[in-house]
Amino acid sequence: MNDPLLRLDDLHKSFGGLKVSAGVNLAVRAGETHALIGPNGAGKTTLIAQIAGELRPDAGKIFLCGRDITRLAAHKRARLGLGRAFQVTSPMAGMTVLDNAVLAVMAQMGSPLRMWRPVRGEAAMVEEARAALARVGLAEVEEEKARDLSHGQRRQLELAMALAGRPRLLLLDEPMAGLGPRESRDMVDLLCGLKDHYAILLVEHDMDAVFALADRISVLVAGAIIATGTPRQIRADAAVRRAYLGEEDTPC
Amino acid sequence: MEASGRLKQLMRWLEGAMMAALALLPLIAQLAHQPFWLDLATRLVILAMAAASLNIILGLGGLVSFGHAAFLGIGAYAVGIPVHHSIYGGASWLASDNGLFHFALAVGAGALFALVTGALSLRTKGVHFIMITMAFGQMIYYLLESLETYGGNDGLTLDVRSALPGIDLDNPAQLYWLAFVILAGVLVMTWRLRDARFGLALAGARENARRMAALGHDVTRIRLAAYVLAGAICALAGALMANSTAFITPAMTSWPRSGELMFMVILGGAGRILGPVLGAGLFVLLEEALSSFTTYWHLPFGLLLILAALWQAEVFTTRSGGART
Repeated sequence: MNDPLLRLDDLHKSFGGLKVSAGVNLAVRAGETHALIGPNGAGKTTLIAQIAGELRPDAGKIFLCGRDITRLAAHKRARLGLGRAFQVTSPMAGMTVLDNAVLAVMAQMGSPLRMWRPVRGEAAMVEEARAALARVGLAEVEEEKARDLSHGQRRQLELAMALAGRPRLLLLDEPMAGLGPRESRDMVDLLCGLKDHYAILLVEHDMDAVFALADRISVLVAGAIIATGTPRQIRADAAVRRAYLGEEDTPC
Repeated sequence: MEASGRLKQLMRWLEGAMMAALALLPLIAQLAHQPFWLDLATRLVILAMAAASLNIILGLGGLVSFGHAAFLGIGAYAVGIPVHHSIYGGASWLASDNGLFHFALAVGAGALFALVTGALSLRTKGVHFIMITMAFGQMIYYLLESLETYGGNDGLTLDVRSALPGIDLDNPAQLYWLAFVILAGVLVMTWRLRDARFGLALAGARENARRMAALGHDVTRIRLAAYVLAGAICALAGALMANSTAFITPAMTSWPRSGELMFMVILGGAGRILGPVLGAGLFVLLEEALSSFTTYWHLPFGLLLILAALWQAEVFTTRSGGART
């Protein structure tokens, strides 16, 4: 475990005078579920965008499996094993659930320029896509358009698409956001089943979910990590309580 | 929902009827002693081919390219310039009346121009993409206009047509058949690629490019491939057009021509495989019918195009919306 799966090394990013990442250091170890929490405006979204490759940091480095990916394009990071589920669910809305999952599998298989053989005839690819849908419980609706799914189902589809790419690290951006209590519980159960198989970086506001799932937690405040530790350590950390937990009246 | 279903049924029926009519057209024209019909149908088939190529990027890919007529011009001058030199001398490396050479040159030049301009244009999105493709189109227009050797603004008359083994392009029926068979090939290819990995990836990029990148797809490469393919096909259509009219001018590359190609695609339903045939058919017939009423036929034509665009506004906005992300 000496080489973490994902390592952020002193990341800096500013928009004009606003420092959104002010020297972020973070390591996600193989096999762990690492939660990233922080109050609104702490810079979580910007940090995710930098990890995924949509924003380039002003300074600092990002390593995936020991490899420097700081300047790599988003799609290349995904092929190296970075599976991402978006906060605002954004599957290809006009396409079927199955086609969405097939696109996720296809991204890893390559050769997207094949022009003759129908996709639906490529059994291996379609089976793998179906398996990913089955894991999140969407097998029944595979022929429906993604835009016709319920909010919770779209969240599940996001996850299935991230899984279908056979990721080494799952980047989950607020998977509970907008879910009802019942759907939230289902999602926590689903993630519990996944956490043994994947390393996960979980950005989440739902503290019940975070404390139920995370092996370690990092707290981001004003663009910097103020504490990293086990859930027990984070609960007891005075700085965290002051900066974050105390304000939000969350169960501690 | 009900109405759009019936509309689609009607369009499918119309397309089937048109393909059947086109397949029988030389025979019909001969029986009716109307050789002019064959000219009209040849124009229709060639425009349908150009529109079908645009359909790959506009319909399947959701990329609103406003400079597609440039490829028609590139293909046409890939015939006109070698023919010119074969008769008047000069540039012996280029001089040829060999049709296979002409067509290969058209496809190669079209693909190359698409590769270079596509690689630059595809770095932009939405309105910027529309503007930059239009600018590249106009660049070709002014380039051709400046070539005094080849007639400049006045254009170039082809003294001979492309010489092909076993096919005589001076015979209108044979030219028609060649164009029709190539069009059919292009349509079959569009149909196959739509359902293959390439079509799915293009559709995914149209729907949500950002999500596709997060999945690991190289969206720019996928779109560039479509752009190059479309450019090559459209240039081939241009080479056939030069042979059909035997007279080419830079005007065939100007932006209103690009707009007409776009409207053919939209008129026939963007992304539908036989849509470009329907669109080109309506375009040619309207152009013919309206110009017999009035020399100002562009006015009622423009109004009809606006109506068609509004009528299909939903199709159009969802398509271009995907390209914006």
